[in-house]
Amino acid sequence: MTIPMSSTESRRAEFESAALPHLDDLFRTASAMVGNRTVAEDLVQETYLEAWKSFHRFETGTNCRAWMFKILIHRVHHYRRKWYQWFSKTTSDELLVDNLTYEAPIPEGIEDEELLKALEAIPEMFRVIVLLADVQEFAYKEIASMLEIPVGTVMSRLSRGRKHLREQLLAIAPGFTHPSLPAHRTESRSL
Amino acid sequence: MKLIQGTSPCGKYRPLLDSYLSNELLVETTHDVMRHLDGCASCRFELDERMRVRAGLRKAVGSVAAPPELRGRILTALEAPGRAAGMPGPSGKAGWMQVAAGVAVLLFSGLLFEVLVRNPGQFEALLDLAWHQHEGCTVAGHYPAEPPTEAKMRHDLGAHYEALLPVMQTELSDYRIRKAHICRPGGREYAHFILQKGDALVSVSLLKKQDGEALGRPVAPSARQGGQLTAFETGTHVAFVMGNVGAAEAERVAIVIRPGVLAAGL
Repeated sequence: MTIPMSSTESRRAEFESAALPHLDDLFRTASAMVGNRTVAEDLVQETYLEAWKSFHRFETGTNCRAWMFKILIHRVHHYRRKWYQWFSKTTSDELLVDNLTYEAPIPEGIEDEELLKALEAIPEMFRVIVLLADVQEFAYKEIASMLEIPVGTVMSRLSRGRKHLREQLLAIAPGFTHPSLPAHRTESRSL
Repeated sequence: MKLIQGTSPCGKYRPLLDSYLSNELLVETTHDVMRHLDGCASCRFELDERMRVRAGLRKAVGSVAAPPELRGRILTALEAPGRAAGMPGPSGKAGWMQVAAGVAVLLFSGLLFEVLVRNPGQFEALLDLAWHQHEGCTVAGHYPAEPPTEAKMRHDLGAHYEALLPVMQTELSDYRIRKAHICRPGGREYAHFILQKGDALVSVSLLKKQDGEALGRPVAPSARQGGQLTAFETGTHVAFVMGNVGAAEAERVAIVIRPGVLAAGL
């Protein structure tokens, strides 16, 4: 049902009630996507202004959180359009069963900062999907709608994003060498 | 999506672990995976690892909090005069142009309002400083007759700022770089570029912020006598775009180089 045209005040109250609870999650996601808190603040503010401007198109009872994230993704895309083609719709994405090789355990005691650093190091097209799926817990279908890519692409990029993240964590773990190097294939760490 | 499956039981189920972890499998498939996990320590270990990384990631990202003042800023911006949104806008091409123009006006008037209210003295002081120290480059056209080589520009910019050179070359490819160097007018260090396109001259300078200096908001336009000045802010620097071009072009230059300047770590 489309929101009835009532007074600006009541629409504002409805908007604030529906949209503002997602401020922290939007900021966290923006911050992790662009790696800069100042830029993230701007993007989140722009997201709210754009959402308010389009609020007449928002249908009460539908997923406001997903709607806000979709706007944020577009703002980030707009911001980075000159630098990353992470919205490019590749058709060659494959879900390769290449994870039966030895997977080294992630060391215990990884700090939050190390995790954020590892996240920042993975390619943007994978990072955004890891954030939306693993942190914000959106369904594949919702993510596909936000990014305007097929569900299959979401699946393959999530799989590869998680793998990238794991590789980054292994790389930053002190004293650990990636197991793909033959000389260290027997090295292991206990959990 | 092409699924390449192995022949061993693990080869069948391991690729499903990501979707299992995301609770995206059909009920029947979920039960199949659970049965396999009951009898396969290797896949259980692998799943535990992925769950551990995911839990750690949620905790790490969740530790990042939005600045307390951001909510207030958003509410203030929503209150801006003329921002009576939530209503259908004009349609058609002309309508969208009106919308675009309106958004631009609201955005920049909102930004300026914010900047001027937050820190009017410092805002004006910074813009005046930059304008007076570099207006000669663009308004008066003080630049070498022969464009420098790339090697010279890199040398003159130094290790800290040479990463800006490809930003200018890529994003402002319609301009020719006439000078790129470090200058110190008034005792403050600027990374400074002069760019030319026909009669249009644009000067881009980056000034490292001192303690407490801030524009308050990025991309702030300001008309000046004889030219146009647009400034934006990064974590460590204030960048000034000035020239004998119009406001729209100065803003465009600021907007297209800003991501690159940030990506260069400045």
